Amino acid sequence: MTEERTPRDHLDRILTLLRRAAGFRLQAGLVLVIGVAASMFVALTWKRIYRSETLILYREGISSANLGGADLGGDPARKLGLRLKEMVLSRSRLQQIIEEFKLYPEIVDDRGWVDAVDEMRLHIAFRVKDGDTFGLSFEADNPDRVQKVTAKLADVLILENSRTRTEQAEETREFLDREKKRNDEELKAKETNLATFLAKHPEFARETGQSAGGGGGGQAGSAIRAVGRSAAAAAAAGSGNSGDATVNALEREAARIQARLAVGNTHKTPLLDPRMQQQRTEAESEFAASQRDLGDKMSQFTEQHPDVKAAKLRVELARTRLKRANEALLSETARVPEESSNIDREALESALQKVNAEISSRKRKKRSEDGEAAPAVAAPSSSDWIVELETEWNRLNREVGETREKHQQLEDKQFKASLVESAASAGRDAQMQIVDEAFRPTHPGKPGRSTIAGAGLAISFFLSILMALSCAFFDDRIHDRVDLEQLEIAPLLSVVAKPSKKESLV
Amino acid sequence: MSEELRILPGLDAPVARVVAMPHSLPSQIDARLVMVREPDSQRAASFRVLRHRMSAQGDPHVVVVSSAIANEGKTTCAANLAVALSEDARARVLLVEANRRHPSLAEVFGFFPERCFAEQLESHRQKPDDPWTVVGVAQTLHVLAVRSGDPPRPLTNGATFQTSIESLKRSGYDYIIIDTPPVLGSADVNLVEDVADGVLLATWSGLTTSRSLRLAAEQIEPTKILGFALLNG
Repeated sequence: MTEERTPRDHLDRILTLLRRAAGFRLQAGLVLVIGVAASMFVALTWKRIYRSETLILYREGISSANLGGADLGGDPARKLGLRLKEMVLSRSRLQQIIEEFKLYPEIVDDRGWVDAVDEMRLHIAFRVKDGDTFGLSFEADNPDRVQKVTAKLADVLILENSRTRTEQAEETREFLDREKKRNDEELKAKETNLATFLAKHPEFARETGQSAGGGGGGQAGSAIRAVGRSAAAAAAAGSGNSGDATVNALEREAARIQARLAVGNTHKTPLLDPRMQQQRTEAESEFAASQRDLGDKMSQFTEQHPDVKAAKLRVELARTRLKRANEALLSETARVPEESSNIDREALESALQKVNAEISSRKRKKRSEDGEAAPAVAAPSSSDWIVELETEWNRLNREVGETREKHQQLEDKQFKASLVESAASAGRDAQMQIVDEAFRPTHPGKPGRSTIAGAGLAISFFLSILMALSCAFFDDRIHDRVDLEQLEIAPLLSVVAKPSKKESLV
Repeated sequence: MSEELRILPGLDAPVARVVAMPHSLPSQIDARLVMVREPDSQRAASFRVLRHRMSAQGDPHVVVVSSAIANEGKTTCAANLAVALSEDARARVLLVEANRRHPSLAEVFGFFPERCFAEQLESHRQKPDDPWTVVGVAQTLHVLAVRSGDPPRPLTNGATFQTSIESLKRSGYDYIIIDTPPVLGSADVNLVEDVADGVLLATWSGLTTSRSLRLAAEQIEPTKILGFALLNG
């Protein structure tokens, strides 16, 4: 019964399906009528939506990147856009705007502020445009209100952005202030330790005096070791280098004592208080910073501007501070020679003899050990104290140097942070400007009512056609021989044609 | 209506007597009787094709005409098929109405059955040798119709019906066409199909559903189904 169908058969089946679909014109017409009625209803009750937009330009004023401040500016447009969008859609700010303009009263009454804010978010669009331009738009059913709300949103965004930047700059500066204070205390403690060490072992002060202004204890140590090495080289001219670390340390100690005795004979090298030196260094830094700040302010404002006046005052204060530090240092320098005159030369000479005797003893012992080719076993000696002393001296110098370096870095950062804060508070770091004010829309946005009605008609027509075709496709009734043949129950013996309209076979 | 009683010629026993019916004008003939009203039409030719195709299906002599549900053209199909078979002058055809629920054969052929087929069935239970009274609607076409107006009753006594059909076959009819109720909703067809050589299912285009046809085919013995006749197609 099942035969292979030709294209003509397929075409016949399609035509048959269409004919049968035409038989369901009543149902299709019903769908069409309902669809048209619904479309008209929706179109007539469709709310006219107005949309207003404002363009905001984000402009870098004094680049915080140039100032070396915190990450206030230099955001890529996308990240900046996301940050600004979050600011715009902030729940608390939107709630304020809803309250101010009395938006969505029904939602507020029925469902509360949370839903009202959510509803408003659906009608706010924030777009990142080319360059540093951002588009902020709002839509609602009242053109005047749309304009006002859009303008308000832009104002709120600009104010909030400015406030956030200022707060961020202040926080950065405050943090650096705290860090610097902590570092000051740390530096003071370390310098006290170093001063205590020098008081106990004044022979090391020579190194400090020679390296005054260098700042690094390690450099001072290397200088005095150079003197020691030359002395040791002279002493070992006939016997060669000892190669013993203890002997070397004793030789450097001898050199230091000799140098101190020499100082007593010639001129007095002032032993300056490191704390005073530090204060003078800080005063110099502050003075330089205040001068830079003043130059920066004067390049932006007139001399009558409050910022310029404040900068001038800062310069004066820094100058006074520097002057006091210099005076204190000079008086200390004058006081040191009197102290140095109290050097106990006999004690120093006695110590030098003792050290030299120790050096000779160790060298002899070394030579005898080398001649016997005995295993070099270092016996504990009473002269190990000099090694420990040098180690302690190097450690204290290193710690003071590191802390001072950190202190200097913090000062630089603090200075830059203060510049950033000043720029942010003056609104000079980055500015947001409204390029296009929010406009009052004259026409409702799309889709309009005619579009809604047209789309509804098209959809209704499509659904009616779909309805007819679906009914025809799923129609289970027997219409022609093909339907019977598809059942494959029994053969079709005959097909009696349809009678004319006047006749009825039943 | 004038009546004339006569014995069928050539029969061995007086098993049937024929009541002749008067000739009617073509305009008075029921529209369903296509073979008589429009003998040269395409639709009449379709019934002749049906007769031919049935012969090709094994030339059944006792044929049950039914449908899945009511109003699908059973009576139309049975009446026209009987007329088509009787066009062969040598074939004697008897059209039996087994649809006691909604009888309409008498209405199609335009006569009033003096002796209802249901009454004769009851009578033959007591006296099997009594002759059948049939209505001769054509030279070789006789009808055993049920009188309309009687309360509808199902066919309950299958054995009597089968005995009766056997008796009628012995009366010399070449073809016996039995018009029955629809298959779905009653068991009449199942009682009748035992004595038949095949079942012809009438389907009405745009009315019969595939589902009802399948159910009907499941109710009938598969080997008895001769095929379908699609009316109004």
